[in-house]
Amino acid sequence: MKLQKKARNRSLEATRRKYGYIFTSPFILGAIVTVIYPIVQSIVYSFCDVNAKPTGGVDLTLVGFENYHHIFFVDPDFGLLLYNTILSTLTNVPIVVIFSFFLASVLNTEFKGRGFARTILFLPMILNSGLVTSILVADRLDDSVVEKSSAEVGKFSGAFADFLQELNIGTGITDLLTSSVDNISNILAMSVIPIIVMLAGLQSVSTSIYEASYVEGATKWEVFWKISLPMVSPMILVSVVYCIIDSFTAVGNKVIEEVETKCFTDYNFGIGSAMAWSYLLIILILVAVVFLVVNKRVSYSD
Amino acid sequence: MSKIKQVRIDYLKKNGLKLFISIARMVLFALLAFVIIYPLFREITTMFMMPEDIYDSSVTYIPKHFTFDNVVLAARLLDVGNTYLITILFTTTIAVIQMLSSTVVGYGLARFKFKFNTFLLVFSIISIVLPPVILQIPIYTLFRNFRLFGLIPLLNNGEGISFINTPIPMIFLAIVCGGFRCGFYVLIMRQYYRTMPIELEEAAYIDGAGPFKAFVRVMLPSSVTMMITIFLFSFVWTWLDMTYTDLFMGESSVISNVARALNDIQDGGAVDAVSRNLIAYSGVLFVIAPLIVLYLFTQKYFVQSIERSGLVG
Repeated sequence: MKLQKKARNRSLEATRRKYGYIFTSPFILGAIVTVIYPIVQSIVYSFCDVNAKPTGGVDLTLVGFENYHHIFFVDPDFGLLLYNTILSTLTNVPIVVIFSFFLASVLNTEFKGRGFARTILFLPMILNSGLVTSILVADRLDDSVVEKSSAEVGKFSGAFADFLQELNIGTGITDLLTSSVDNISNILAMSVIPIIVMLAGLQSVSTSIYEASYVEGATKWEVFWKISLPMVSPMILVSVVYCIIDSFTAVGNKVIEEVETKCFTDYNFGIGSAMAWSYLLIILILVAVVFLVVNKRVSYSD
Repeated sequence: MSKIKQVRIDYLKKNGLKLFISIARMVLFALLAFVIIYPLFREITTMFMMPEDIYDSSVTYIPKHFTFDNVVLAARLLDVGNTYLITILFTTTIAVIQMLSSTVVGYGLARFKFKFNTFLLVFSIISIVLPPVILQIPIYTLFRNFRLFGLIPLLNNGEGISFINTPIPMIFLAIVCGGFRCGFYVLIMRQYYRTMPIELEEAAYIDGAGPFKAFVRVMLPSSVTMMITIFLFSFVWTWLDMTYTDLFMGESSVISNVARALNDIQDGGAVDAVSRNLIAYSGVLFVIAPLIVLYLFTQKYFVQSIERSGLVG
């Protein structure tokens, strides 16, 4: 009996399982500390009226679904903010993913000035960061400076509008060009990470696979659809998930700002948690649906 | 005669297409470069202006009163040498730890089947989605009053230890893949290892290697591109991070803390709004310059040269 049990424990599967736990052990700890614990706390808060005690620590009074009722039926802004965020995500993500896959494919080919092009496309990741904009935005409150320095870094529209004004073409054309360019620079800013991820994915495809298919007589078109795309598909999935999350949590996202205001300006942690929690749930459902749909089309080698 | 003509047409067709593609590519990147670089260019030229130039409407790009004052002042206010040293040391440590831990965890998630595999994958996504507000308070209280299940208060007169303003919380979060967007790195590595053929490891197992040896000797060398990508992301995000550094290391002189102070320069009212603006502009350049240099070095690793040793077709 005992011997049998021992033998089963030693089976390959059990050993593999054990190694699985060993390899992921840092993240198991991390998931408990940085995911489960805060989530449980925020769920508890979201069902309570939270009051900070002067001595530190908090007073909790259970109020049931009152906070949720408040944000969805009493608060006039939250529903609209949520709707706008979801709408802009659904329109932006497909564009960003296709655009970045296209650019990653182009950047993966051999051409003069490739290093330069890659460096340029990397810049929005830095220029659009919260730190850089926070240093510059604070200055823009001074009207005296705005006229010259509307070249707010990262946000291109300001500088571009200046540039067009200097060219002296009509305001109609200026507005049209500014808004379309602003869209481009937004999409560029969202595309940096997907481009780098997909580029790294494209680069990890072994050259021998390409050689083999060219020897077999495949055309470039076929190689793209039959080899490049399937080999990068896991990274496309990563990019899609990233884009969705990024568009929901980026600096300046209105819902996140609302949550922060509720928590740190109004000190209303109950409402803030309820907002964050329902927001999180919506994002997760969206990510889960996309993940499951896309994952079916992703080709893994195992 | 007609054959030569045919060959010439074919040649033109082929090269015409090539020429067209390269021109289209050039135009595309020129446009993108313009969109991205123009604001930066404006900022750099403004950096060298005196306040007079800002009010002078005839000055657009080239300053009339060329000066290095703003740059020198910003460098002095940022204490550039010292700040760079501290920040580079700190950021590199965090980025290397995040890179290694997410690689190991990503490999574990991709290759081994166990009960919580899917759960952990979901958690890695949740950890990126969670608004920082939700995360901040519980983790802050954890490190503000670190008790280790009541063990530390026993030794320390009933008080917990505060790790705030030490790098320990950030390093801990990096090790457990709980830092800023670390779940994303885990996801990248997991997806990457799932594209790797399992035959490579099976060969290693047959040769007598255990899972650790197979991982270090076979899988790790082939994932250099991905690891560099993660290092780059982690470095840039840690360098520019305000949330976590402000929360855990608010008093240390890493660049994100120091640079934000540029907004509040008063200097006894001697500094007017315009000069402050000019100094902030120069300060931003000091913040982003090292990141661009880093990228210039790392981008050359994004080349099609990483061969998966031993893999044929």
